[in-house]
Amino acid sequence: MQFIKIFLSVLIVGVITGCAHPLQISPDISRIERDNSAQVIQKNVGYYLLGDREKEVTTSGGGGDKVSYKPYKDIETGFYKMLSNVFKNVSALKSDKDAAISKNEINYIIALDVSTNSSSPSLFTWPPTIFGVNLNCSITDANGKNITSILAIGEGHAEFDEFKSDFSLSGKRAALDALLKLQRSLLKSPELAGDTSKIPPPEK
Amino acid sequence: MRRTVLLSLVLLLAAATSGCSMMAPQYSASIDNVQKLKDGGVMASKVGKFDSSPDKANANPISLRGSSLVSPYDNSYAAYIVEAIKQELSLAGKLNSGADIEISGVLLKNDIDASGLGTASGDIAAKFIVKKSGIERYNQTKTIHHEWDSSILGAVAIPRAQQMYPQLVQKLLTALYTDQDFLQALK
Repeated sequence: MQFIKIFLSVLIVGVITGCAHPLQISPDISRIERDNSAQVIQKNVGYYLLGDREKEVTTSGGGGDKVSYKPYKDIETGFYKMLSNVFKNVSALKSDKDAAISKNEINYIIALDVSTNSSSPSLFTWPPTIFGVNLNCSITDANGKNITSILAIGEGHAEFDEFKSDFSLSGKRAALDALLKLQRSLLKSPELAGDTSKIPPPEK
Repeated sequence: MRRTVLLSLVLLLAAATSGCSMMAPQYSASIDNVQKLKDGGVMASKVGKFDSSPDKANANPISLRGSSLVSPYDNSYAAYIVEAIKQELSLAGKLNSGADIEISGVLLKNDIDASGLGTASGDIAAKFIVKKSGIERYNQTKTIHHEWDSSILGAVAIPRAQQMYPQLVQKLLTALYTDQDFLQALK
């Protein structure tokens, strides 16, 4: 009887105070398409992540609860798809010294930093109703010379009727919003669309 | 007073552990897998039919502590494998519905065990067949078993198991793409 009381107490405390609720904010990549009027930039691009792919972050949910997710891992596939819409060829790199830079004749190197935030005014439900995803890209040429920096700020909202079948909905919407905004900014960037001949070849 | 407390506890426990139907997350391609296909120098391919073998270990829906996990692709986990291969071939620039090379197969095993209080696990096995101009060039089964930290709390253990499903499929396809015979069959 004593054991049952302790077990129930631990369980109830756990349920009420809660571990962070796991979420996954990967957007639906079938919705990451290029506007037909936009032209592909005829350059090879490589990217690397400034944070660990497996890095887990914890941000606020509703009712005093927390949510946890892996922003780099969740966003990378959508980021790759978005870059494939913008550039001729995309390579995933381990760093700005990756041998693939020379091998794949990469013109631009993008360092991606991801930051997030979430919240909910609800006292009774834990999924976040408001989510923010910020994608900060520092872009250099193959020799490390700065080309440009682009920040895309994505926002996602989801109310109870929507998120009751997908607790990650506001996060997915924020990630999609950030990726589509970033795509527009990359396609419009005059620094990236310049003449190929002005870009020095990568060092061998 | 004691009855009220007891009733509250029962309701709370029921809410924490009771079952419902949930959808597995849509597949999200593994960039490592995409890179393997790109680096493998494979030809463009199409993805054909995947069947599902009737077997107790080939669960559909998957049971997670009384909750049901269904596939977001026509309620079929074989269709989930098709979507996963298509996504990765597409991102690698190697998907062509008119290609001469076709990848098809049979889903043999598909289940998650989230009953453990500290550890959960998932198992998937599938037979993959590659044909070129109708002639079979590859026929092998790939199997993966993966374990992860779980929790005594259903509110944590069930969504974590739900989110692991795409990773199980990613690992299955990693096993396929690292098989040189498979890459060779796509050339």
